[in-house]
Amino acid sequence: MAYLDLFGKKSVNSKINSPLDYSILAEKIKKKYSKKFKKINFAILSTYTAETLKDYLIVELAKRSLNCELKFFPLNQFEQEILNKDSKIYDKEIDVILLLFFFEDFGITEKSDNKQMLSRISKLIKSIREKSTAKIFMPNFFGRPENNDGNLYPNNSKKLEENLIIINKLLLNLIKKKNDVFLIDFKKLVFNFGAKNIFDKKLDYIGKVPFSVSGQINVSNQIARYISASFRYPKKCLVLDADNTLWGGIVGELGKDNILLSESYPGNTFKDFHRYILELYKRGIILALASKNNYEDVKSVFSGNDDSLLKLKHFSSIQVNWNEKFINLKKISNDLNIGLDSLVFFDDNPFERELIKKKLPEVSVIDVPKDSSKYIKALEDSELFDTFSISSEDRKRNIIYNQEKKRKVFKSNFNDIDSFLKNLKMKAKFYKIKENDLGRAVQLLSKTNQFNLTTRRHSETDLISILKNGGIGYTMRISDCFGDNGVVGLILISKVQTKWYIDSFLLSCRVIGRKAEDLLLSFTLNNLLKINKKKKIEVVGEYIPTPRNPLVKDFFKIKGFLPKNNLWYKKVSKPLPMPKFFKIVN
Amino acid sequence: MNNFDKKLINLMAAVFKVKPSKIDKNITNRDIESWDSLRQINLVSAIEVEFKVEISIEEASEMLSYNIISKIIREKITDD
Repeated sequence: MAYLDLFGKKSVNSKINSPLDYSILAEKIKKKYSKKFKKINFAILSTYTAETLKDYLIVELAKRSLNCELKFFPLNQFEQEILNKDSKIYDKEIDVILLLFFFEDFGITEKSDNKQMLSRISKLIKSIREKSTAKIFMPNFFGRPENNDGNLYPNNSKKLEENLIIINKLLLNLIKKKNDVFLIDFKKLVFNFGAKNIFDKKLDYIGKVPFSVSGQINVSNQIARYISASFRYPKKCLVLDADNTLWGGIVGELGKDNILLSESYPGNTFKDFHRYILELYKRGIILALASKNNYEDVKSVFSGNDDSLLKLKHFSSIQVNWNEKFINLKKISNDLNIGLDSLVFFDDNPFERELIKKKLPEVSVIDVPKDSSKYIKALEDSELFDTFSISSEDRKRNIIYNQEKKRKVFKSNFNDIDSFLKNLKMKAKFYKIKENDLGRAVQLLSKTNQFNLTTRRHSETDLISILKNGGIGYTMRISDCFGDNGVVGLILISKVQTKWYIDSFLLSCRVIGRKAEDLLLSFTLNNLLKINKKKKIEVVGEYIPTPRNPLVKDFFKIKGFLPKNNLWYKKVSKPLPMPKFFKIVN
Repeated sequence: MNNFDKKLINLMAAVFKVKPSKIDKNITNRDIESWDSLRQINLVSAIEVEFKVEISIEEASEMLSYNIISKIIREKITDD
């Protein structure tokens, strides 16, 4: 555990405050730990001196298990560097291009032409994209403290602030349409920490360093948070304890009406925690309960205490019993069909937390503070649910898991799988993967582990390059009599000369065991036949083993592919049969 | 060597990324290759935080040798 060696038990957000400590830690990281972390090569273009951020960035990224190699480019060469196709920012190994600027650099004033400014940024992004597949990060715009001639009433600054808000909205919309471009919320950072603390006029005069020491630390922390979130996927499930976590006191002793959970002090911290958890629930985080308790006692709170905003229906898996918690967490992971590494464990009891850390190291355990007024901050600061976009799939996830509960009961009514599948009345819909709608495909590629033949985590830019070179891909939605399962399958095929390579093939764990994989394969290969004007096609499959995907080891063998040099080959000359049980609704 | 000198030497060594043994009381910015204008900013920032003093912009430009740096900080500390 390189992380513990370096930072002890401190969490990601505990700040080291002295530049000296950062400097010493940065050197230690570079000497001893660089190989233990994922390496990310940065090109940093800025309109101010950014080199002083170096040690802070190294440490803040290492806290998130990233090892960065930072290349700084000369000040104010912003546009020249971007337009120059031979610039070193376009070196192949560069993973992240970080642009750092202020609103003044784009000539924004209280009455500037926003359209013109945005088209300038849009052109810069486009110009980078033409030459590089690196992720692009840039800050949004934020005001800086200004001189106001002793004028106590707001004058121009108010108008500028208003304009910045408008521009930031436009900027966000612009960026959402681009691939692998991310906006770092500097405005929020300045708001949270205060302009007084972030900026330092003196350093700016000395060397064009706009930020104070604590400003530089906070800016680096924010940059690292955003960059690390772009390289991983948010956790899926929050597992909560009950007593002293969701309410104060022990319900078995106090009774449902005497626990601390109310609109006013001292129960308000817990009620507010309920509110925050519900927000997570609404954006698609699955909730589970793991509590050593009598089920009836816990139930009495959720259904009988009106201050409990969380109800039993919000939990997709409920484990209230006297078993050890690691047994319950395994049960939750099984119930929901998600990996242990998708679980976040929140429990006020340090003993339980240590036990989970020891028994189930894959689970993320929140270091819950003793003070319940800090519960929300602890979750927020863990960064474990950080994400850049919340899809409609995410929002529906909890509904989908509740349907799954009903489906399980339904399944137990049938003796054989075929009659179960027949009675499910499944419908399938296919979507061709298109350049202007890649978000869903990237999400599936990034989070599917078990039924995933190659586990290639493509970015949007990777997908575009496959499609541009004659490749083809589909995603598949399945619904049944219980409702919509969402988009649950993906196939991506690249074309190399005359052969079709199955670059990626995956299925969400929700629909494993329903022959949906047969449907996806047949549908796609039959379409390739059509594209090829019904002449014979040759398809090549690949299985790349990971610790998570032994389930699909024999997939191509079962589908009649023949092995050769670690790959699987199949010639197709006439349409493959489509599995029954599905109605295609394209 | 007293605690003050030890602290300052360690600080300068960390800022300039050299071994503390490379720093002595006669050292100036000409003796250390990495002592450039960028590191000068890091140096001033580190001194302000570690010694809990405020360095003026004029002083920052004078801080080009161990002797001057140490003199400027000492004056501020004994002021208190």
